[in-house]
Amino acid sequence: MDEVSGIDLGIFFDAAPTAQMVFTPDLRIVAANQRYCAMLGRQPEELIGNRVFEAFPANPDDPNSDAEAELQASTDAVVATGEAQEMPLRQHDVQEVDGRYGTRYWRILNSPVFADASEPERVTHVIHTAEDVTRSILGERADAAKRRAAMRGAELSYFEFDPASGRLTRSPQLDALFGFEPGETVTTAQEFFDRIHPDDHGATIAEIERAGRTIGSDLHLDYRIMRPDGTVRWAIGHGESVRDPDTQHVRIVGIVLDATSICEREESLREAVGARDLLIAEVNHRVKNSLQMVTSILNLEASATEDAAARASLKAATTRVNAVAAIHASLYEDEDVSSVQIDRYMERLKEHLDASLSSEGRGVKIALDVEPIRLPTDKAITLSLAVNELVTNSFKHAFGNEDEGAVTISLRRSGGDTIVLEVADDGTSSSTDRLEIKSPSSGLGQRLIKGMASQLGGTIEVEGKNGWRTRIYFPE
Amino acid sequence: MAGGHAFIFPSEEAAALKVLVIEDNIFIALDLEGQLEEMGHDVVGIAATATKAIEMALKSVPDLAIVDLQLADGSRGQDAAFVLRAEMDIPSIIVSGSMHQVTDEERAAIRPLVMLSKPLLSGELGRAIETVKISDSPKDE
Repeated sequence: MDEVSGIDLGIFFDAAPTAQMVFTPDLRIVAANQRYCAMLGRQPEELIGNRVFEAFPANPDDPNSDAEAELQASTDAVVATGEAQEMPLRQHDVQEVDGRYGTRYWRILNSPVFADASEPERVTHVIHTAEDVTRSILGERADAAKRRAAMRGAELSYFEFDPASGRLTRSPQLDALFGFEPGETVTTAQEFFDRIHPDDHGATIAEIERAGRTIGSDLHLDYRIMRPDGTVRWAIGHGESVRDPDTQHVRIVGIVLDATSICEREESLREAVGARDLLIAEVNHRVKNSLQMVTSILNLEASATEDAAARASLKAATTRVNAVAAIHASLYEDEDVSSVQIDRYMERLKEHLDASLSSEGRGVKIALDVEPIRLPTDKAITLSLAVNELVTNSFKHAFGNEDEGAVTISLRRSGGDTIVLEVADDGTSSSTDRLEIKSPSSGLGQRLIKGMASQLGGTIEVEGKNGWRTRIYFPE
Repeated sequence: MAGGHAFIFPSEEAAALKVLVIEDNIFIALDLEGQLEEMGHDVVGIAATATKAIEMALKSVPDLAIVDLQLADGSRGQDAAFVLRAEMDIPSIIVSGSMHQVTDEERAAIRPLVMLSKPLLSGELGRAIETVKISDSPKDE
């Protein structure tokens, strides 16, 4: 005690972490500690000797301000009871150095001081402890404002569900969403649950129960609402479960979004896609039928023709149409109609060539060596026509009637984005024989091959050693 | 596939089948007829609608029907193929530009020998008939 006996007790007052001011029962300021002065931006000499509301005049723009009367009433109660009085949370704006008023919220405790030794029961002064709660009050208000703004803008409703009591606290939008009239007084969640579409009811309840079992877990809802007027609304809900700090009850809080317009738009998009698919299927059907009709007409013409040369020309035309037609059969096997899995298609083309050329060279086989490659449809059609010509050419000119042999079709990548098509045969007829071929149909074949190579943006390479080998290099 | 039912293709020596062509496009129908005849089969008729097909099948009792799906008058090849299969035990080969029109249930009821996509490749129909003849021939007779 000896160490402190010489110390000015005002030091303790100044060192207190709470803002304190001392005034007489008639609200004249006697002292203010450093914390108080700092908090209000005043020097002690500006305060001491003044009455409280001289030092802190009410904001003339705050019509609700009856702070002076309230403070006087609280002070009177302290004096009368000799006990501390807590004042209700209140706003009292403080004039700043530049003359403006800053919005301030205060939590205030007025405590009695008995300084007159001769009258120990009499309250001589009041210690006024002030806590500035502006930040938390304004923060809450800002949050609430944000929530309201968000709900207004996006057809959001807010809810708080207490699973124990079944009580559902919510913003009015939720009642509207579920089709409750403004006058209806609905308190339990059950009345809301009853309006969830039967197909979604079970899953929705299960999800709410799940979120309730694990505190802090996320809630995701997606359900339809059956309103009494028969209309259906789509709702999406998000939230989480929390433990109420006061009651220790688990509550589920979250938002519900009216997603009807989104879902209806989705629905109509799905319908549009369905209609488009149907249209594509129909067009596809017609294309295939038309191609079938063309080959049928050519077949009919060929069988009705007596002249062998004319018949051969018609057959050649048929195989060319078939080569194009075969692409169409492969084209709609998967979703993508802009490109074709060329290796799968080549299998079909080979079958078709096997069948149509079987009369030309009985001992000749067609072999395939094709990498899995996807090609744009236009390129695939050109490529298939080229293969048709080259293979037909080999069958016609490379082999004698009794020869055995093979024609190999290969398609592979050749570095970078270059693809090489090669049709090779092991036929015995010499290259000079082939170059002398002058029949009109093979002449057309040669022209077609050249034309198709340039259509592919490619170059042709021909090799006449040990059979005949034609390569077309083209970019992917 | 069609185990136990009465229909069996004739033995390999007498390979000629009586075939009904159910197809509403006359060019395609005539082409199919030509191809079948070239293979040595006997085309008993060409029907452009489901009703006509059933009528002709009852009269000529074919061994096999070649069936297009979308027929004249908006009738459906599936309906004809189903009656032929269910009431006369006549099998079908479906030839169409859009196979997806046949539902799984229809397929199970019709039990087509094979389904071929239009346009037919040269010789495809002939090979298909050969294949089903081999696989459908009774092994123990």
